[in-house]
Amino acid sequence: MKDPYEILDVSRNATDDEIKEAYRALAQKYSPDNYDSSPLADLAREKMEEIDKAYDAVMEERREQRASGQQQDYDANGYQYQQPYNAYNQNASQFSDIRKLINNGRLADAEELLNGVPLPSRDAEWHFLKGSIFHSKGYIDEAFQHFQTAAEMNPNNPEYSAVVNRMRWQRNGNMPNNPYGTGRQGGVNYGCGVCDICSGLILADCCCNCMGGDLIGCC
Amino acid sequence: MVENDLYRSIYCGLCKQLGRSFGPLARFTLSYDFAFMSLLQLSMNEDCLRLERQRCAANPFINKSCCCTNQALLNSADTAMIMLYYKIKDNIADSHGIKKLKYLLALPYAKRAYKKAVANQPDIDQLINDNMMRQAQLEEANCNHIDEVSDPSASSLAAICETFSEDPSQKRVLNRFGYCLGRWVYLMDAADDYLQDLKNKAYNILALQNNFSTDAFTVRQSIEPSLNLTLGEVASSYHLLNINRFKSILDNIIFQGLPYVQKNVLAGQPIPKIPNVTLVTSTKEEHYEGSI
Repeated sequence: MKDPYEILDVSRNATDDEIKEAYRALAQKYSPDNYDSSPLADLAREKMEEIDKAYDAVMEERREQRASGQQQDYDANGYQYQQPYNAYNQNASQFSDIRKLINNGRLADAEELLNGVPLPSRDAEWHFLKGSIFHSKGYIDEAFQHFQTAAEMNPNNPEYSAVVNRMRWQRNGNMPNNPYGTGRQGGVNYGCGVCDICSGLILADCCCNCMGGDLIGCC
Repeated sequence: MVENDLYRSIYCGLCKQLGRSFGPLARFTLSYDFAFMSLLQLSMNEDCLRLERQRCAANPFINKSCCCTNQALLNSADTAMIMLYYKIKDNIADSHGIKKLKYLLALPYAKRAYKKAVANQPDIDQLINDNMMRQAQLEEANCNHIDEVSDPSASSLAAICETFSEDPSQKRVLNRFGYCLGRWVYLMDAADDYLQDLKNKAYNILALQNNFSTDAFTVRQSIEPSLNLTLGEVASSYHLLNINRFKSILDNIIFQGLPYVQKNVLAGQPIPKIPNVTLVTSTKEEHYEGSI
């Protein structure tokens, strides 16, 4: 196993809080929610497991180091993310065999079986699976259409609406975990934008005004 | 070293590499697209990177920092020549008159470089060839399906990116990353060339989707959600890549450069130089930039 500190991208001198923060940021980045229906979902899950293990290892190591008995409480589970999510493992499904095929990457076989389903039996799940196949192939516009149809046919299914919401959010111009900070997950906001500088200056000016001085002459 | 300079030296290094591998004329094909591919490949490995100050043909009085020969630059130069050859062949088929003559004259040179490049990258050539043929068939048949018509370009870039790592999981991620990036580039080209294609009655997926509307602005805006979604997919696969170095340049290109270029192309504006943004991955080739 790689050095757990390296995996969490923190120095050995980092405080517990800093480690927790780094863990939280990584957990959000590789959250299964970001990879629902993605052909790379399994790799994201592996990454998540690696991060979990690294976090546990670091925390365990620190607890042992504090062998003096003054044990501090810490949140053993750290960031709570949703249970590992597997789009293709639901039981109550009339298409469980097809889900299995998609899960194993046998897209052509899965598609053939799906296409063989007669029109009246094509329910929300059928569209969801069709969307998953298109998504894996990279046909993402077509995938979005099918996911939308699935969510319309069964608005109560959280699996369908989560995918549709994520894709809609991306279609509006958001990139997952944008390090420049406009993403839904917030990302890590590096540096300081023009707006931050302006608002900072205005605030500073307000402070100066209160104290009888003036920083920006015109306001 | 400032990261911007590092990207620049990879760009200059690629220019020099094109010259070394295929002769001075090949350097005119230099583009930021292939500099980006070299950067990505270099970021995936940990090979020692040598930089040297060398004379630059475009600015003979200024010595520029250049990245010395390495596998990534060799591969990018080969791929650039393979793509150039197919592009010229495609242009010969599509153009008439004096333009056609221009491409016909360039063909023997491109073919010589192409043969040399194919000897190094036979698999990539086969794949690009197949995809180009598939693309031509789809366009011939007036395919009116965004996903389908962008698939050949996307698959080509997917296959090229896949070669950047030996690790099977990373290959999968690179494949997805390249696929989505290739799809984005294809659709961006369609948006960028819209009016020209309309004038030349050339195939353009956006023309078919919008009933050959002459309102280029609205047409370009119509593709925005799909382009955004594509970039979102590029980003989520990018996060799964094991990037060993140059992460801040790559972050900059992917999260700032690409959306910036997209915004400008969709607004029908030329892509201006970007202060403080390292990258400039444009969909157009930028000759003379830097170091010819």
